[in-house]
Amino acid sequence: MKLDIVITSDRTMITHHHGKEFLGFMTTGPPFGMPERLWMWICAPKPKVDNIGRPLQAPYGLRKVEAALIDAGFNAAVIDPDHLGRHIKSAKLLMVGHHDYFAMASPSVEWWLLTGREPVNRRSFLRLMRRPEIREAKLRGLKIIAGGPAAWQWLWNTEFLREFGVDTLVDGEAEKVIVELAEKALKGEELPIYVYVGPHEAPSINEIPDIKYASVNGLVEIMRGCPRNCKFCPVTLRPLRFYPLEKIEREFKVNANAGITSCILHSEDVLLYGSRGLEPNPDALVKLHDTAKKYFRTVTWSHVTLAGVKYAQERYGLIAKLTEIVYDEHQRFLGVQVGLETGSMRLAKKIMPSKTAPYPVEMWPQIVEDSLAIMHEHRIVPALTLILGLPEEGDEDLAATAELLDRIKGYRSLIVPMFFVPMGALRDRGWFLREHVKEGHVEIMRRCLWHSLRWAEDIISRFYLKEPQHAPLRLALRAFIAYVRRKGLEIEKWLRENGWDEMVNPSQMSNPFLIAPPVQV
Amino acid sequence: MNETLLELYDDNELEKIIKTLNNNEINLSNKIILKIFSKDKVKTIERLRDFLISNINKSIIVYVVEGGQREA
Repeated sequence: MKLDIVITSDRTMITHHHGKEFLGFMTTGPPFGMPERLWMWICAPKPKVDNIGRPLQAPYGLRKVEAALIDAGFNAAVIDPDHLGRHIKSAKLLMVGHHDYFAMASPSVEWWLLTGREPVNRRSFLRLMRRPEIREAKLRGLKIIAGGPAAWQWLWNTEFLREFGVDTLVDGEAEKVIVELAEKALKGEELPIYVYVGPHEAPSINEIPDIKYASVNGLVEIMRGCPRNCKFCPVTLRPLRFYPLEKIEREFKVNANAGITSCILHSEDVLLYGSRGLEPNPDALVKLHDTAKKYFRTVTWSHVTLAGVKYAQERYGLIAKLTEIVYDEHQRFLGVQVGLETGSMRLAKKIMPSKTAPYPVEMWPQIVEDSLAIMHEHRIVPALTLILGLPEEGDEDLAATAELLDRIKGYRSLIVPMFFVPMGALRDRGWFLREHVKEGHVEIMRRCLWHSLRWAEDIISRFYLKEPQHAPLRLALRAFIAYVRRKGLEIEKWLRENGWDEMVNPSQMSNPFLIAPPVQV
Repeated sequence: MNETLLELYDDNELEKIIKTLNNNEINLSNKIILKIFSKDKVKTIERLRDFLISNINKSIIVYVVEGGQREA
């Protein structure tokens, strides 16, 4: 089969993460405490492919681009990176997408800063693009288009634009514009070097194609955009659109027919599906979960908000209702990513005043605690993310965050602190780099580490990777947690002896941090 | 859709021109198409970076015509 358009990415993207999305977070770090091959086996194993090298599961965004091109009549397919060679010789256009091409997003940038070592997502992508077959195809006239949520990173890494001969960058929702660009590329017409799709040109629901082939771990979009307008977030800049249940169900069928037994409902706040403003729509949510459970053994959420959880449960008993639908002999818990962001009411008012809605922002610490209590009770396991280095952050804000971390010690969760990356409405602000790290940040990171280690052990014992086939993986993760615990104790001892300032301005070779800035900005 | 099409030369005046891109005409547009004549498209993108990064509301398309020179 000769393809005109090949769509691909590197192994950290084209993988099923053993069916466990959270393991994908390990692709944002360097191989820590083990060889890279083992690290990659844990977090990014190769998926099954068909006889022409198409992966059984591929990132949802690539599937959308693939679907748009197929619907427009192009001979296009997502191809596994290990099978590129046979297709790239005859293809006219290569499209690549990524969550984090150059490890500039959180938490990659933080792990790089703290360890001084390049995260595997960046290493893996650069290895892909440096393959001789791509270089040779480029010399023969192959066009290359790069897109996805990390397209902006090429603007900070222009040396790679030059090295790989990228013809066009596409930033934003690409479903409409990608067809026009593909036509130009195949006809040999002039291509723009840069395209940003603004909110006025975002595709309507009818213009967003259904995926044709399965997505990683059954991830399916249920809506786009978010009405909360947090200043650090790029997604809230997009218009809010809800997928009708029929459209979602069509994509459920695509995944189920491919043998996928899990489903991830994707939204910035799943509990706002079908909402009127910030008022949840219980009927729509119940129907959505009932429908998902018809097709899949397990149903999880990509993201919810803390205020959303508290309100949905207090007003409608929704958390109880929805978990009752999804929990059965196949599923005992539900994992989800949740933005904690900050413990400071002052900062919350400045950067995310609607994050707490419908509650007043002054209630933020109480909202956090109440919501975590609800989730703990219903066996919902949040991976909480905190942002360190927000613009205008002060010592009192860091103290408030540290205090909140103490309050939530007893609730099952992982807490990942992330360094501020200029995005969304704050995209013209400065980066948070080594010289900005203060003692307050280190204290927060320390509390997050011990909280997460404690609860990671509990989660693995009681909920995660319980299937017999995952025994080797469970063993590897336990060994990793033990290693991180030892390393954490070593770092704490070093800090007590040398002081936190030595961490950010290292003068000793024995400094366990080895901090370095990720990019020249 | 209000579109604005600008043709520019990436010589020493590009940065001056970029500063004036916040004029009324641009503010009313929700799509900007830039056609830039330049000797080096990657350098041109580097020089446009701050403008591109700071934009969140408008669609932007940038064409770079390499080897283009300003007419006398």
